[in-house]
Amino acid sequence: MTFPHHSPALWRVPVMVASIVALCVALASLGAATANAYCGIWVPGNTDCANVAGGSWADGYFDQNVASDPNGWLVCQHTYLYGTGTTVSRHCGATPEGAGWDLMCYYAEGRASSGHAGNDNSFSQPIYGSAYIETVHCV
Amino acid sequence: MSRLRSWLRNHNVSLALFVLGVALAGGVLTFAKPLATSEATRASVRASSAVSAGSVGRASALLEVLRRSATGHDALPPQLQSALSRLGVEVDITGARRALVTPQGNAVYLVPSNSGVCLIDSNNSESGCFSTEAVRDGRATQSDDCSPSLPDANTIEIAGVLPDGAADPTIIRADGTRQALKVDGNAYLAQFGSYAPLPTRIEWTSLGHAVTASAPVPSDVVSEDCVTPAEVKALEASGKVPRALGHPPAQPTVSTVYAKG
Repeated sequence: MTFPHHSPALWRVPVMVASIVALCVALASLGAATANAYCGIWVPGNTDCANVAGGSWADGYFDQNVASDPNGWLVCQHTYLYGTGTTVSRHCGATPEGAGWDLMCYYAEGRASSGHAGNDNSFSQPIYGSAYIETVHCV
Repeated sequence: MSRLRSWLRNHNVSLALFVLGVALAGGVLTFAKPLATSEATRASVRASSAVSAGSVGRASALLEVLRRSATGHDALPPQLQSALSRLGVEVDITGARRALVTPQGNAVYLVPSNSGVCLIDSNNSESGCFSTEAVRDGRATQSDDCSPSLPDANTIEIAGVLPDGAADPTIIRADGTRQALKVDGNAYLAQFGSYAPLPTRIEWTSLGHAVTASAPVPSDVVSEDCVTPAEVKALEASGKVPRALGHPPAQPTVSTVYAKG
């Protein structure tokens, strides 16, 4: 392959275009892979991680909220329509429990959610929550 | 070599190479996008159609439905494969079996995973994964309320997996009443009204002994403020639902309730 030495300005144009495209691809891919990991601490029995000192939850725009306990004990993912206290998805089980397609229409319609993860056992357990954008399909 | 370096410097090729590298990295990230990224899933799992034969064998040893030959009905629809991948567990898609179909046409599939088995239904009201140990000791059960996949906001659903040899499976409600639980292909899926006494336990016999497991139905489902997508639109039309994202609400700390985000 040879470069057009006689006209440096011309060959720089496609390089610049390629640069912009490449950076867009990179940034888009980083955005798609981003997840809002929250909680990640030991949570007392029958308690929402958001109600624990040092606990957390995830507010924002996402279509997935997954709660899990690495030991496979009972957890619930509990997702509210942001700022309303109304529940739009809750799944409880021996982990990992995800919101399935429950949130995708809310996300696609631009509604914010509040993702929580809770311990529905009577004993303490570590709980990990993750809220992220997986797809924009509204089915 | 010095001429080459000079040429590269003069023609900004180092920038081009950098950009190319960024593009390649971006491409890799795009196509190898993590399927779930909680700390737990990051630690141990990635979606894959390749699960070790040993781990699959452990689940199959407990579940006859996974040992039977595949039929055309067992192929997991692509959208369910995608839904499973979101849970961040390695699953063997080729090992999926359709366990049952409800009278409403909802198909329930069991799929071997690296640590046990996953259950998912074509309504996608249920999607969860259980360890082999959870299956063995009766913890392989899950509940769903406040889901758009359910018929209405007053319906709750439980689904789960029972090991081979589980006889006479029964739902026991909070008031002690008992109701036969229909199990097909090691799986069950049943719906209940949230205003009736809630299912609290699942009982079956194994080798002549009664086995009881808790049903993971939150006790507050009756008081839960559930909305469906249609109800949200109506609320929004009346100006009762804020669309803008602002400060998080105050966090109540009473009892065992959630923080009402």
